[in-house]
Amino acid sequence: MTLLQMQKLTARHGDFQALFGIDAHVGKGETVALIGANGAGKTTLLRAIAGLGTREAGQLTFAGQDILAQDPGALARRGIAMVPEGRRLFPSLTVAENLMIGGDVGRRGHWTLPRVLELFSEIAPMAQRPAGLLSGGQQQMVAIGRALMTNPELLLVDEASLGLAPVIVDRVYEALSGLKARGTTIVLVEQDIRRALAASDRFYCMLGGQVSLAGASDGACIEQVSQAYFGENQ
Amino acid sequence: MNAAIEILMNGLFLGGLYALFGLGLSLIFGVMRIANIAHGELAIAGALALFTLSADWPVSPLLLMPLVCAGAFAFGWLLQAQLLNRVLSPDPMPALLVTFGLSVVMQNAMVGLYGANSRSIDLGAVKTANLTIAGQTIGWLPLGIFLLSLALFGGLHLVLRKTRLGRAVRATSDDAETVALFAIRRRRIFAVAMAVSAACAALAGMLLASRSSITPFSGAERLLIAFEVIVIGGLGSIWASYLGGIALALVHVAGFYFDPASGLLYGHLLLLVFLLIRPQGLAGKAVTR
Repeated sequence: MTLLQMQKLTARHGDFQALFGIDAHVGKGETVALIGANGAGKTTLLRAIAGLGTREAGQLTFAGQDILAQDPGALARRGIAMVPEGRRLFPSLTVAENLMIGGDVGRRGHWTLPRVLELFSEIAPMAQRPAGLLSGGQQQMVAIGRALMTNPELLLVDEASLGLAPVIVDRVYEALSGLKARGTTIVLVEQDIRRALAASDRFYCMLGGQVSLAGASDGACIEQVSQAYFGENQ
Repeated sequence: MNAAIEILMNGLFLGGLYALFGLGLSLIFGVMRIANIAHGELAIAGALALFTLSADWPVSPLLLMPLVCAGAFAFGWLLQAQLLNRVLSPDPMPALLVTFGLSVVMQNAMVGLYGANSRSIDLGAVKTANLTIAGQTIGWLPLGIFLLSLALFGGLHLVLRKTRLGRAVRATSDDAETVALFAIRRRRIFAVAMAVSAACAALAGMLLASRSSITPFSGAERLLIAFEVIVIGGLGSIWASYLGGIALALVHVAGFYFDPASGLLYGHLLLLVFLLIRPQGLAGKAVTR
């Protein structure tokens, strides 16, 4: 069953058009990776799905409903949650308060504060500490936990590994794989091609605001993906 | 010794009122990153509104103060929702200019309606009642204003720390774009902040007019006090404003005690000292660039 569908979606990043007619879909329970170089339009696409930025034309449906004109708050209440690039935690709020902000969206489900702290046991002892004082890896766990607290149907994860030590990245991806096993639908943006392919069922490679290659992640030809990643002439 | 205790007590009591002036300005700057130039006029308008109500209703002005605060709350909400939210942008200048324009319009409107004469709110026997503690005579009014400001700061602290609304306000102050992902409408939060700020300003104006006198031109002077409070106290917590208010009032009271001709000057000098030596204020955190 298709959960998210995009047809000829165009969007702007600031004053510039960044997406040029994206056709893509995400099935329920799938993990889909968006890969591509800097400036390819991955983050703009993720933000467009979450209701941030300017979506201009095309079709965007979630669970069969048109969501092109909906704001981020309405989409959060419908079940779309985002882990933004750079985590974007609320630094003066404690870890627990950051997580509760997700819970305040008001969607009931499996994820509660104790369950999130159980999933990321590393941050449990820091629950009452300001989130701004945590390490990058701990902050990433809080950012994922905050999104989970909205009990999302679709989790959008932007650059989960950015700026983190490899051992922390392994831990974050282990958690994402646990979420996938629970049936959470995930769209993740990742620059590390191998890691993205290993963590996903399907991928879309983006170049210049368009999809340059799409397919199943398992058995994807790295050379072909690299060509789609950097462009034919690279 | 007696002089020192007198300065300390008077500074402490006046500090509560100063802190109340700083609180509204600090809240707006903290949440929206804009300076509300009309903050002083909101305070004076609150006091003048109380004059009007007192003239019509034969009850103690103290009982009418909550009514004026409720009106100021509604005015602040409308001001933000209908005017300031329309000019919000990453550039703070448009909002700054709108609040500057508003201060000019409000001041002229108040002069037109009430004239330029100074006025004071008559609280009757409350104004002169006093008690004696450890040999010191303390006025009930300054003590009451101090306790009221302490209770208000405490109440606001609890709302900000213990409620869902307070969490949303603090999160919006941290990152007004990201809160949208969690169904928090930042424009609504801004309206709440401006409403609370206007109510605090109106209360401070009414209490000031109860202690001393005001004119429609007193707003600029009160705005300066509010700015000094938040610069000296620092940003980041409402208690920083409290600390700033008390520090500024102590310097004013001591200044007037030793040099009655230029007491306020020492407050301005304290501001300059803080800007030069500790620009983050007493309780603020240093920011390096």
